[in-house]
Amino acid sequence: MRQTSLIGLLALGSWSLLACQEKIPTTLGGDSLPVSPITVQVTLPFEAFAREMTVWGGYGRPVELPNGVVARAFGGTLDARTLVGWSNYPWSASVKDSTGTVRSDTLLTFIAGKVVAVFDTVTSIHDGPVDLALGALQQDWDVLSASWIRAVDSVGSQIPWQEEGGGPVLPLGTAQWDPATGDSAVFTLDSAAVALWTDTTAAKVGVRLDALSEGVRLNVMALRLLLTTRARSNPDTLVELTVAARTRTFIYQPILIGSPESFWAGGVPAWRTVMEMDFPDTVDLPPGVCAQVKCPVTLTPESLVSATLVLRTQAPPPGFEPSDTIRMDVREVLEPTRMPKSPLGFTLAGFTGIRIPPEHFGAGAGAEVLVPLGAYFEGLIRAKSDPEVTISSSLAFLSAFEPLSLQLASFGGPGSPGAPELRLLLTLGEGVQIR
Amino acid sequence: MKRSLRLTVAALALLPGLLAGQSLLGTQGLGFPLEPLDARARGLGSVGTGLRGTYLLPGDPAAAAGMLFPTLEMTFQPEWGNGTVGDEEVSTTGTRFPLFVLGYPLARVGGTVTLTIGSFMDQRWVMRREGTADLEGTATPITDEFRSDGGVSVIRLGWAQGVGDKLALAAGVGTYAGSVARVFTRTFDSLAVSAGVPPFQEGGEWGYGGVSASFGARWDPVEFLRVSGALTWSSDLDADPSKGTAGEGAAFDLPLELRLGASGVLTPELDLTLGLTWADWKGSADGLEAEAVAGAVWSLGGGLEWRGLNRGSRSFPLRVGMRRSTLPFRFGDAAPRESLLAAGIGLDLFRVEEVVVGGLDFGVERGRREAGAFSEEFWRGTVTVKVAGF
Repeated sequence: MRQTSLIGLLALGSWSLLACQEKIPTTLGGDSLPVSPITVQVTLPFEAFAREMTVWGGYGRPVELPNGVVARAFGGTLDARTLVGWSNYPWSASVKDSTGTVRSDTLLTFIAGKVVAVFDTVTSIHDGPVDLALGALQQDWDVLSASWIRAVDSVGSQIPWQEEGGGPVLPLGTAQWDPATGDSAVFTLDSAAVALWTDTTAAKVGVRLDALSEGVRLNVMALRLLLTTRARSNPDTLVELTVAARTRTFIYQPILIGSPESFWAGGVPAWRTVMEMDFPDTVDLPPGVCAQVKCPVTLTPESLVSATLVLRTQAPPPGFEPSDTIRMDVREVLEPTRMPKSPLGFTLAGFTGIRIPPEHFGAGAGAEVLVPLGAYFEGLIRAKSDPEVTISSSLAFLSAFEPLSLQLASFGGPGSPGAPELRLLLTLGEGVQIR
Repeated sequence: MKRSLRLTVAALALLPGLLAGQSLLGTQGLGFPLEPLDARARGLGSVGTGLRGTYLLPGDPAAAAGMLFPTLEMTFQPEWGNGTVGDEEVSTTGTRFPLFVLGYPLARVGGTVTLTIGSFMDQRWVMRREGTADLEGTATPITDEFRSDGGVSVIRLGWAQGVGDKLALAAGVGTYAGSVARVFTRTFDSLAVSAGVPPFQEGGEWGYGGVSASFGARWDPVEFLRVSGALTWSSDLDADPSKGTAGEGAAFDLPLELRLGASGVLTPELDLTLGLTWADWKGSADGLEAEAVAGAVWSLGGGLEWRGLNRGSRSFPLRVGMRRSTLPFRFGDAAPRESLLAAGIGLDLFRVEEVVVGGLDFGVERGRREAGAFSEEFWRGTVTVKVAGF
């Protein structure tokens, strides 16, 4: 009997499990859906949702970028040169003597050297082989503040270059970089040039890398000094030693000046655009929709489906066009009165920012860039009626990593044909009821 | 605290409703009625009133009188349905737990205390609609979905008392419990709108409350005949919005329900049972519209139970029956009807002398529901597990 009971229980369990996979009664015959709200899209011009827009510059320095830049008449206007100061020469090397034993040799004789410049082959812009020039700088400069005009441009000390653009320089040689054959250009140094930087002061001042070919903009990933030395303990052996770069930056012209008609983000020093959101409690709807709902419609968090800021790209100032994807960030400005030094809130655009392909700033200028602001805009609506909701009505648009590069994202500003717009998707209904 | 308790107890009883929807007819009115019947009553096509023997069913409170040992029963119920609405096919599958009962006899006073947690309405269903929204002149595909998730159950505490050898009376009070979440979602075609546009969603949750009172009587005028009846009164079923729900509350008018049943012994091994229920549903100003309810609904069912199959001291009663019912909420303009054939078997797993202390009952029903353009055929199984003498 016990066996019968067991079998009975097993059969019972199996049978009941047969229907455990749930399938809820679902009908597509939705004519009898209890609610039937209306969805409308409203596009607000800049003046209807924002009060002002300000472009701020000066965030970060070229030295903070992981690369240098050289350019000559790129876009007809942009010149850029990379400056590198060397560390002191090494004073010893490990060398095998005639018996094969590795010894530390401190009596080094530097007989030759070379400077290797490494370029980013993807983001550098050129038409083919590029002629380059290397020159020894003749003047002290400050890596944090050096600019095209000034060698030092800090508070309390402003020292111009003897010649704008980091000059004059002592020519050390020229080289050609052929992008088709590699990513490097090599400048061969004679013994006199090598001897120049045995003086630690001269080594610190370093070199200037310049482009001789016009219409190019190259990203310099590294500039290395390689020294050839003969060991005293084994004169038949030549040893190559690397001298690290102590400092690296780049200087460029022209200096940009922000315009209220353009909306900028990026560059170095970086630009930010700050927009002050200011919108009414109600919005007007098209006449056809107003026949179905009472107009104007009050904006409520419940009715808001999405809010998208529509920006339209425009060509940046010549020479500053992006050659790689731009990543733009959007953040609340937490203390607008302290701009340009206000702290910013958390990103509203995700960790990697809004990605904009470089073509949108060239041949594809005028393209729409959509910035989703749904949660933020909902917060602004809530803040109007709920004093406990704290949210800043100022929004900053900036590079996702600041500074990211010399290239600049530019959009149409208020009053321009490509002025920003706010696209609201609203769903208006009577609400779900129990009956 | 009170609400938490109510929802917790309701969740126990409504495990069925939380697991599966019953029928597309549940999209109307208060949902789909779920009768709290056990497998024996289901196998007999019975309304659960006037059966032979001592048993625990909310629809026959006096039937617990004379119970010898504490008894616990739990019933669960898988169901498979396939229906059509016009050209559209709708299928449902799910398992629910429509009944949990406990009877505890108090020998000193000769009565039995009963606690029953039974299902009342299933409110789990989904409606979808596809269409377009005109967004500044662009027809954008949208999908609307309305999802209802929840149900109502009744928790009753009763007392059944024998009065002499032939009569038993019973009374009980109960409370309605449960909740429903109703959510509307509109999804926009991701190819037509900006990427990252989330679906629009609105909805709310309502908790149910109300009270009921039952009175029942059982009469055995002669040895071969039993007659039982029960009357259940209910207050309004109040639906109160939970915190954060913008929708208003409602009060649904619940009808007085009458149940009558009788059983007769045809031969020493064969019983016949018949029963009916009646309730007059009405609309109310702050509840259902009058057009949504079907008015007076009835259910008539009955069957035969044969106890001739025995093995040793144990019996394996076989049952067959049929039932026809009308359902309370209109589907479109039509009043729904349900008809079914039923069969079942009992299985005494454990006996101590003449008392069944562990048993199973199985019931299988094959039925059909119709309401205007809607028709549905279904299989429903019911299993009741019984433990006594603990």
